[in-house]
Amino acid sequence: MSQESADATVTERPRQSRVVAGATRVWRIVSANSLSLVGFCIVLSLVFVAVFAPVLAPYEPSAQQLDNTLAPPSADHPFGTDNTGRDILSRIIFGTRYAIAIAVVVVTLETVVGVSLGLVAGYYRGKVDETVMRGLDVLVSLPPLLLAMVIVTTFGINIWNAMLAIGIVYIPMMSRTVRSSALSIREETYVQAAEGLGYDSKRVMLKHILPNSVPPIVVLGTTDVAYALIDVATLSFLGLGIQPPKPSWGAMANAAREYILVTPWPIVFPTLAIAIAVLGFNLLGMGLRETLLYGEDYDEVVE
Amino acid sequence: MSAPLLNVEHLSTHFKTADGPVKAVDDNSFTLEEGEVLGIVGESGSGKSTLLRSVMGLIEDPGEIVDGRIEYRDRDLTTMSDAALRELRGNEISFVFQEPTAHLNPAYTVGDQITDVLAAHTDLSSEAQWERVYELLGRLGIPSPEERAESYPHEFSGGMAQRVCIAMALACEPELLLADEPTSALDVTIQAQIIDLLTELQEDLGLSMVWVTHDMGVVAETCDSMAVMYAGNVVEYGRVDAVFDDPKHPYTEALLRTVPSHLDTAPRFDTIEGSPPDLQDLPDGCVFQERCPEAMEACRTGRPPYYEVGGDSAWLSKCVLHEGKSTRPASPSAPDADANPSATLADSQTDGGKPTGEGDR
Repeated sequence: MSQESADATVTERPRQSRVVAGATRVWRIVSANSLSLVGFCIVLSLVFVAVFAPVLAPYEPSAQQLDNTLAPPSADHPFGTDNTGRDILSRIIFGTRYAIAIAVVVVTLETVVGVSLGLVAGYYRGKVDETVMRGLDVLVSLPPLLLAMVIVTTFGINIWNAMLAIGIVYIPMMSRTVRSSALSIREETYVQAAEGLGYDSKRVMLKHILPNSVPPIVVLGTTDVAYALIDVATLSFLGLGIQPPKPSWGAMANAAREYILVTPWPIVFPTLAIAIAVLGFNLLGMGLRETLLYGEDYDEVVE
Repeated sequence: MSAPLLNVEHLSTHFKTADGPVKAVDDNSFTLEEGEVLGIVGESGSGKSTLLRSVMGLIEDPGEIVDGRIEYRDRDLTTMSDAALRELRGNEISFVFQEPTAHLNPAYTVGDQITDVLAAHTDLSSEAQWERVYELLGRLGIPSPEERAESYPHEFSGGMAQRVCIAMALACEPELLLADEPTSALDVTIQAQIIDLLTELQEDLGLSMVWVTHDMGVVAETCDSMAVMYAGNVVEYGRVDAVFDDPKHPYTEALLRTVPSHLDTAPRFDTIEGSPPDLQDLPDGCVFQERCPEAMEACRTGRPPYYEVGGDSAWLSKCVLHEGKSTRPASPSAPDADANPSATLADSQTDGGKPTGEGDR
């Protein structure tokens, strides 16, 4: 009995320390480069704002004050009010939630589908590869935003379809990236050793090829968040994305467009928010690219 | 005597190229008895590794096993399905490779990698898997296994990484261990340690082993039988002591002469004149004819079959010098080989000579 409990602690302890080790490793990678450090801070504050939006926002995002419309920034309303007298700061704060949701949904969709297709194509090569990649080429041949608009208008205008459309548009790029690294990692001796150990194709793909192609996936996924934010904002601006009165940055900019000659504030702040969020993810992506893909101390930091 | 654990018959592995096949392994036969160690020796490029990979079914395009049988416990590995082969690999038949660090996945700790083998082939619970990992690492002489299991491959030296590779290979208690020059990427002192360790493990666990090497000393020290390869051909196969004592093929003889000994006072090492033939353009007849001091007219026509040169059927030589002796039966399952030597002689001469002579051109 005592023997058993002793063994249990032996196997428990490493598991616990692994979580800590993982977090330390992420921090080491992120802080290895000032670009990614700044980007990481911006992204982290976005997440913070999104989570604590109800606490941080001074007003209800859709509370109207019809006697105080299109007000310039003031002590009461730091970013001013829009055409129905809603507080722009509060709406931007709640808009962060949509931005983060877009980031999560688009990248998850892109990664899950794109990585699976890329892995399968790169692992099996030959006919499977040709079929998958030529199929994706068809997707690539259409202009991305146009394709997204077609998908949204076909399946109905709402936030889910907008995110879905953007996600689908990004799949080919992810597949190509994963395929190319799968093709080269497949030839590594440890993958051949894995085949020598009698692993089935699923295990070889998921446990041996995929973990070693993570760096490009992370970099591409992070940069794609920035593009996704712009694309969803564009769709919203065109009226195909998130619908008013939901406080999305793109839709806010669209609504403020009409009053741009009266007051610039309702359009300045939402676009500024988009710019900062995009900048954050872009910096993070660029920094990670340098550390993970080109860094001299790549081995040291990652492994 | 029971059937051998591994019986390779007339195995040929060729690599297809635009200019015709490269005959990396050409018409080879050998057997491995249970619990014994077979050494495969030969120069670089003689097909040793390809032969071993063929046995594991790990030959990749454009390579292909074009002929022959590989019988493991009376099951033919060449006709087995991929799924069935995977079931054997890493489980009953295991591999130890040349460059240990390159064969470990850099993304996982070594403990994870060993549990991965166990997860693939056994139903052990997670705790039992880790217990086995610590036991294996300890058994292989890795200090403080609990800590080292959490290390990544790049944190290991070559010798330690090879110990980990051996631990992975032995995780599922295999019957047969195939070692492809397991020590040639290591320091000399570490080589000795790994050789001793493998020998010890082989004896303790009753493993059967095929050991590919170009170190005659290793063969002499660790192996029971040996196969000498030249230009894709096993030219001689027999018991180690017998072969060392009285080699029955001119190539083996020449090869043994080149091994330096500490008693040597000669100012130069012996070498074999010339270089091995182009595997894409093998000569008719014996592959060694161009460098053989005893070459004669008969060597240039038709690849010699395996002559049974010793008292028993397990000593074979591919040299016409032994013409007249009985040859190895073409079919290993022919039980009356000894009872009716003349029949098998006629049988195998047609069988053994033709495919390599002109059939494959």
